[in-house]
Amino acid sequence: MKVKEYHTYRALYCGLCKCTGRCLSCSARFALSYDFVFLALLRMALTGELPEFDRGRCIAHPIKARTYAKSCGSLIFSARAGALLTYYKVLDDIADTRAFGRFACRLVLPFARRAARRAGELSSLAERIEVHLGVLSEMERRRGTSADASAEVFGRLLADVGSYGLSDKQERIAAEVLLRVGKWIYFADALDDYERDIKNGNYNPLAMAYPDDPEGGKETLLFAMHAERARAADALALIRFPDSGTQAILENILFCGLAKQEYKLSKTEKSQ
Amino acid sequence: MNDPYQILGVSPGATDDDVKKAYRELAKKYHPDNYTDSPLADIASEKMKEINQAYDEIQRMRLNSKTTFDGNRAYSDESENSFAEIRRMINAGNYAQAELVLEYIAESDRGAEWNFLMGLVLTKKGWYFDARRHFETACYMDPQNAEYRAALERLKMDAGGTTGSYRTVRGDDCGICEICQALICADCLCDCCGGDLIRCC
Repeated sequence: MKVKEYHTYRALYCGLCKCTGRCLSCSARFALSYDFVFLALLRMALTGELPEFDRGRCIAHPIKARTYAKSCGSLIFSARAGALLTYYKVLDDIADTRAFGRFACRLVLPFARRAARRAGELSSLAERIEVHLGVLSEMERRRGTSADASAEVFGRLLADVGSYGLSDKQERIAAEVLLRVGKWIYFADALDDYERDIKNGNYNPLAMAYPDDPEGGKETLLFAMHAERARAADALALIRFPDSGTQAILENILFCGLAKQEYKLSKTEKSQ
Repeated sequence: MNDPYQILGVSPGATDDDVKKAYRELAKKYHPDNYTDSPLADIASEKMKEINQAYDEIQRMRLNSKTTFDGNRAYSDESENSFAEIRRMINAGNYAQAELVLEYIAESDRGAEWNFLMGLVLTKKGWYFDARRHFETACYMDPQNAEYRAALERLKMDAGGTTGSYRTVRGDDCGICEICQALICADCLCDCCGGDLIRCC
């Protein structure tokens, strides 16, 4: 990735933050992450929308003006999708965690709910998200041994949200990329939460599939993550990119960003 | 139909194991996956069909001759027979159907071959985590079986996809990484001066 592409990436993040503040609520700006920049970039690549840039100050950077991307369809979409997904994540955290964590989540909940209500046209996706989450929690309740099955549900959830409103081919490409990335995220979480889930007796797909051989299970999981990432890259290669910058950033996230994360996870697991 | 023994290249007096071995060798050789990009794919799939039919025919003939005096043997052949049927479904591309049939088989009958076949179906589905788990179980239950081991190795090779195998992050314990680091540093310097040494980063 070139330096100017890195600046574009940063500017998109600032743009997304500003956009979230304007369309949703100020509190929703705290829940932002670079994950949603990925979504915005993917939408830009597929719709052919190119962001315009401007310079300005904001609450987080009041002294020095920064370059930010002006509000556009992809950024608004990503901000709304982010609000919706954050709301369900908070709900999920309340169900999963205990004591103080749960209390903190409850404090955040009203803000998350308010932001999610302002998700505009995307509100119609709420039911679909709930269906997916229902299937997922049912699978976890039954303690299924197939990690791929539950990961696929989560992947489809992301795919449904992210591919919303796109036309035929674009929709299929977006759905495939997000399905793969979603499965990757689910696997990464399973690996990341492994020790904690074992300690708390929570459901963990890795522990279910490999009850006697955690090391072998981790290796298989990292292998599967690599495979998902490769398939996401295959789908990404089918996009007709509007410019080389968008392509370079998206590829960089998939090849370097996720790979680095995989490498980190493999290291931390081994050192324990 | 021609003589099924001739098609598999074994004598009619061959043991069940020999027949199975011959079938597996041929099935591996003419498997549709080996011909996905070939203009001869249709001929290969015909050949595959022929091999499957021959194997089924032999199974059936032997089953009939055995049931008369050995009920137990016939019973275990039956489960093998259903695996042959599943193999045929997989070779014909009916993965969903094969999965359904596999799911239907009782937990107690799920041996090495069941795990292997399930692994094949899941690989096609792109469920690499589960696929690898099943292949590993198959290899664990039947360590001598070359087919199972080959399937596991192949999954490991193939899962990288067409674009995913390059630009992987490696550990810092290899010499190549130091070279890469030097190159990246040089690239950063070039970037700062407005040039570009490595186009991708």
